[in-house]
Amino acid sequence: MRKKLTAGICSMAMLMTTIGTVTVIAGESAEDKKNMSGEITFSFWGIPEEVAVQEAITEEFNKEYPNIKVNLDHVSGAADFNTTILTRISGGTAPDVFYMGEVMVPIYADKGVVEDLLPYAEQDSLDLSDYWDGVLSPAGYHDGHLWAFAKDCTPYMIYYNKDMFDEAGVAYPDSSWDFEKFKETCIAMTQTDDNGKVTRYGIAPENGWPAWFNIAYKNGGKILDEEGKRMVVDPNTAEALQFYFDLANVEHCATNPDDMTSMGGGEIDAFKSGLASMVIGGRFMTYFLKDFDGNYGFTTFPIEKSEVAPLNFVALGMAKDSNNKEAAWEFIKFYCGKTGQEINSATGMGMPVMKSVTESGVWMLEGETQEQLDVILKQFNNTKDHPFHPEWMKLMDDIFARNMTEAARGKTTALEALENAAEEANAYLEEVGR
Amino acid sequence: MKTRQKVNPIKKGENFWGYVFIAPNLIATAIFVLIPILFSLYMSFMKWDMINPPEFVGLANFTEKMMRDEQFFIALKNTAVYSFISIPLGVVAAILVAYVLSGDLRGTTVFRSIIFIPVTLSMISVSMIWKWLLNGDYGVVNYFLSFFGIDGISWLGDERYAMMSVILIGIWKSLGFNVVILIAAFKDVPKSLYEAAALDGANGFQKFKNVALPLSAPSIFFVTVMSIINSFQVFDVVYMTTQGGPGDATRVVYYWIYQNAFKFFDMGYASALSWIVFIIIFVFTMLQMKFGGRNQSYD
Repeated sequence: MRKKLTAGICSMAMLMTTIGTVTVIAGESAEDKKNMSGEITFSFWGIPEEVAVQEAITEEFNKEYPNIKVNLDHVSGAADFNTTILTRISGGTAPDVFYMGEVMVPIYADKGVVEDLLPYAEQDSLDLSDYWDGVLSPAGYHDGHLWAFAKDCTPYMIYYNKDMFDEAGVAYPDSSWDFEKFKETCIAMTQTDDNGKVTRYGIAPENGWPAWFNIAYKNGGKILDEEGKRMVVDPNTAEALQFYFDLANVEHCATNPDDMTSMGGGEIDAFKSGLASMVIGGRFMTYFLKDFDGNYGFTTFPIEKSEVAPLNFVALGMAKDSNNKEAAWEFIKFYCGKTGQEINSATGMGMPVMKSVTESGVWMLEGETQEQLDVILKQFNNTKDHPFHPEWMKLMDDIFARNMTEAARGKTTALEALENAAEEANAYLEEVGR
Repeated sequence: MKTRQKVNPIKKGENFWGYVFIAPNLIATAIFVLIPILFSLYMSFMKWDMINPPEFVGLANFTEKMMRDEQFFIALKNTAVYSFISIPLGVVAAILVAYVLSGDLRGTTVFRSIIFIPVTLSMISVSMIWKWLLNGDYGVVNYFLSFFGIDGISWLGDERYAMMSVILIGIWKSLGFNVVILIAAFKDVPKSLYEAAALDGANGFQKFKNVALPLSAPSIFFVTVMSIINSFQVFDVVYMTTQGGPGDATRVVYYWIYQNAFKFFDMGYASALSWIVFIIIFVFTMLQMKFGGRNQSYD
C-alpha cells in the first residue's frame, strides 16, 4: 500500500510540473527564486507515508529554488514532538520550519518563539483571501498576525458503515439531521443479543475535545467567554454534552470511555471490527480506513441550533531564531501554496487550506463523489475557532478533559462537570495572572 | 599527634593512573547523572516553561502550589496503594517461585527461562499483550473465568479492578528479575546447613523458614528495595493501559510529573514533585535498611 501511495504522490508531483502549475507570486520571478540560496531544517512528525510527502514537496520546491537546501528532520513521535521542539528552541538549535498542531499556535506565539509570517505574506502580496478563515483566524490573522501557516486542515465528521445501514434498512445519515434524528439513528443501528448485551453499538463516539466542542457548537454553545479569557458555564454546551453522553449511559447505543478502555482499542478499531456502525473523526479517517473491509460514507455532525464547525489543522511555524528566514518563508509559502497543497492532500490525512484547491476537488481520492465534497465544503464555509488559549494544555487537556470525562462515564452530569471545570480553570488563570 | 603520611612515589603514580582509568566512567556519570540531578534540584526552586529564563520562586513549588494540587495527592495516594500491594505480593511471589525453582526438580531450567522472558520484553509490548488478555469482551482471562460462571469483568475499564490489574501486570513483568536474584541466593545456602537442620528433625517448611530465608536475607532485602523504587516509579504500564483512568483510579505520581513537565511545560514544578518522590523513596529505603536490613550477614 505504501508503494502505491508513494507512487501516487510522485505522479501527482510530476503532473504538477508537467502542466506547469507553478505558483507565481507578484514581484518574484523565476530568476529571483533561482538566485535565492540557503539551508534550512524542517522538522515534522508523521507516519512513514508522510515522509514521502515531504520528500515530494521538497523535490518540487527545489525545482523552483535549486539553491535552497532543505534538511528533512522526521521526529517519529507526535506525542513528544512539542517537547523536542521546545528543547531545541531553548537550546538555541531550533529548526527553521516545524510542524505545529492547531492548539500549539497560541502557545508558541505567547512564548514569543515564532516569527510573525504576516509581514512576509504582505511583502509578497500573497492572496490570503484564497485561504479558509478557519485556519487563518486561529493563527491571529484578525489581530494582525500570522503566527503559523496551516498546511492542511479538516472538519470533524461522522463516518458510517454503509453496509450495516443497508443491512438494517436504515437510511444513510445526511447533513440535514438534528440531535433527535442522530439519537434515533444510533438506537436503530444498535444490536443486542438474547441477554440484552450490546453486540453492536450505533456509534463509538470520540470522547475528547474535538468531538466535544463540535457537538457543543452545533447546539450554539461556547466554552470561553467573548474575550476568550475565562471558561464559562454555558447552558447550550451543557445540554449538548449531556445529550452526547446520554447516548452511552442512558440509551446504551454508544460506547463510553470505560467501554473503550475495557476493549483495549480505539474508536476506529471498534468501527473497523464491526463493533460500531458509526465513528467520529477528521479527514485522516480516510487514511485509517484504507484497508477497511466494507463501504463507508461520511456526513456532518447533527445540527441542532447552529451550523458552525471548527477546523482542526496542522500548521508550519518559523522559528524566531532561524538564521535563514527568507529561505524558510519561501519554503512555507511553497508548501502552503497550490503545488504543495495538491501533493500534501493526496495522502488522505488532511484537506487543502486554499479555497481554490479545496473547491477544485483534485485532491479527492478515487471513488469520492461531488456529494461528499459538498458535505465538506458546507463546513468549510461556516467555521468557528476552537477555544484556543495560551494555557490550553492546562485548561483543556487537563482540567476540561478530566472533569468532562467523569460526565462521559456517567459519574456526574455535564452541567456539574462544566461548573467544576470552569471553577478550576478560572482559579488557575487567576493564579498564573492571565 | 597526626603525622603526615608520606606517599610512596610509585603508589602515587598508580593512584594517578587509577583515576585516569576510571575517568571516562566518572565523567559520564557526572554529565548524565549528577549534573541532571543537581539541575533538577535547582529547577525545583524555579518557574520555568523551557523557553523563558527560569524565574526564582523560592519554596513556592513545594508549598502553596503543591498543597493546592489535589491531583498530586490523588496520584500519591494511588502510588502508595500500588506500592503497598505490589511490593509484598511481588516479593512473596518471587520468594516462593525462586525457592521452588532453586531445587533440583526436573524442568526447573526451562521454567527459570520462561519466568525470565517478561523481563526481557519492553513494558510497552507487555502492556499491549495484557490489554488484550484483559479485554472485557474478548479477553482470554474473561473467557477462562466464564467456565466458572464469572462473566464479563471489565478489568481495565472498571475503577474497582483497574488498579489491581495494573499491579498484576507489574508483578508479572518484574517477577523474573527478582526470581533470578533469589534463586542465586537460595543456591548459595550451604547444603550442610539443610542437612544439619534435617538431622535436628526439621521438615521442609521449617528448612525454608529457618535456613533458606534467613540466609538469603541480603538478597531479599535487595529485591525489596528495588521493588520499592520501581513501584514508586510506575508509569509506562499505566500510560499504556489505562491512561490514569477510569476516573482517577490509576493516576500515579510519575504520570502526573510527566504531564506537568511535558504537557504543561512546568519544569520547575515537575522537578519539585520529583524531589518529593525521591525523598519518599529515600525515607522508605532508610527505614527498610534500619529495620529490615539488620543482621544481614550470617557468614
